[in-house]
Amino acid sequence: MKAVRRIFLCSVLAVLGAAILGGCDAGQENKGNGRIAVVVSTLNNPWFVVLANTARDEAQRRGYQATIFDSQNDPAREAEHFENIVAAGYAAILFNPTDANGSIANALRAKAKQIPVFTMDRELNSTEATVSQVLSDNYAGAVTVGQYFVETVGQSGNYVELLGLVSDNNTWNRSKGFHSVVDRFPGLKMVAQQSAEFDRTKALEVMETILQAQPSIQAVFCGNDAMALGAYQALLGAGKANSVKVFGFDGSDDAIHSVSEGRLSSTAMQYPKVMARTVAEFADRYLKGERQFPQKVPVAVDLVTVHNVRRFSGDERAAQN
Amino acid sequence: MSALLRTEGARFGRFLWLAAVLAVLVAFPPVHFRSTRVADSAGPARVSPRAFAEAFWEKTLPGRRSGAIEATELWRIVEQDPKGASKLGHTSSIGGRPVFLVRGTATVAKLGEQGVVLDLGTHTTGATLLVSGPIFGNQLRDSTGVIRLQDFDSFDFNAISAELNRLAEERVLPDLRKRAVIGARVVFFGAAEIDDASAEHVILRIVPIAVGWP
Repeated sequence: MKAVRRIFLCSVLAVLGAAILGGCDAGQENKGNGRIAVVVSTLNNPWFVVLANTARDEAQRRGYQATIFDSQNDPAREAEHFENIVAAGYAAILFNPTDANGSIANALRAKAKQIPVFTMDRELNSTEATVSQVLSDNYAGAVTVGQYFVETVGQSGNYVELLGLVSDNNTWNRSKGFHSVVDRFPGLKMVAQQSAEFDRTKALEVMETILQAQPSIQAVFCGNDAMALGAYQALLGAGKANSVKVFGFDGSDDAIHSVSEGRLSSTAMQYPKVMARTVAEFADRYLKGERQFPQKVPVAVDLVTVHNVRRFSGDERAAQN
Repeated sequence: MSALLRTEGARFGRFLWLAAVLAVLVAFPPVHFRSTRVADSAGPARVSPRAFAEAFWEKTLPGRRSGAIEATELWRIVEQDPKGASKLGHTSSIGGRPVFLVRGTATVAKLGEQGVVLDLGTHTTGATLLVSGPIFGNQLRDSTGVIRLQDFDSFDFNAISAELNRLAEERVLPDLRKRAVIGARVVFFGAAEIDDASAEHVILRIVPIAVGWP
């Protein structure tokens, strides 16, 4: 009986020891295994589907196995993904974060295991957590939207602004770029500013509520296209779709089509494929030994209106993007 | 003897339970301890956009005037080799329009809503415009290539643009608006961008850094 107990005790200690050691291997060099994780904030928005799929495809084209992890705009889920990715020993992470500050800890955890992290589209407020951040020049893009807004709405009128996620830098860079222009015209009055979290359904609900309190508006500026399309639906339901101009941001297929049909006044074309391919290329170069990368790389954003929408449709768009 | 064995068995059973619980706790810990070193990973030191912009305006930009390209020369290169011309400018982003530091002497040809239309004394395929209205965008910030996003918090990076635009509006535009009359000669130095959004109306749009009246 004693012999059995000794054997059992040794087995339990061995299992515990292995588990503890397994949990304490921070700092060991990640050898890389040809697997790249693509962690995306949400797949509930077609724009991010393009971003994630392009990153995955480009990584695969470069010879890696690539897997997409959907954080569903939930920082806790994102943290779980990082735990699994780190435990599984992925070679690199192409990361579209949910929170500019809250996601830093996740990237740092990967870095501690020598797993390089490259952000795409959304910024982390840290220059140490990532190898490089490839980001849209949201401010400059929103400046062009603001200029077109003044050109089409005029220098006076009431408008509404729908913000994205308040924890995301893109939300504020777009808002600040837009206001850097519009606030110069005192006749333009913002009668409501509310977050719809980059979500089409939330934008529909928020806009319906705003319209009850503010029935007399001339325009809506939205921090992304999904919200712009939601706001348009609300305006359509209220019979105001023809009298209120809606401005989006992203350059999604739906929005481009809506601009060409006159439902949206404009959008700002971001280039998700350029960003995704660039980070996949950076990860490949990093895993092959290169270490010198720019910490932040902005990607230009182009205004899309009824005057130039053909440049951003169909084959011409495919060639550019 | 059998009682002793039962006691031994019961103790061994408790031990098994304890070991199993420990193994489960190690494998699936209910509490995670994470590093709080996030604060250490903060980005670049924050700057005062206003102070930075004023230093750039007063110390960096004047020294770049002698190296600026003549506006007539820029037009000549743009017309011959648009892609090659872009190498003479700076851009802060992938796919962004290049910004050029330009200088020259011209005659005021027209006073428009967007600015002062210049006659450079030579035929050009598009208009040359000295901006006299509100200044937006990043032409001043991006004109030298020395202010890069990677060195700044993105909010500060963008705020520097707004501050530089404010300086141009406060220090240059009042004089330009007051003295620009059709036929007047003007010496200019500025940050230029080629606006070719419309193929029929290409515009060399210059945000003035300095103007003079010979």
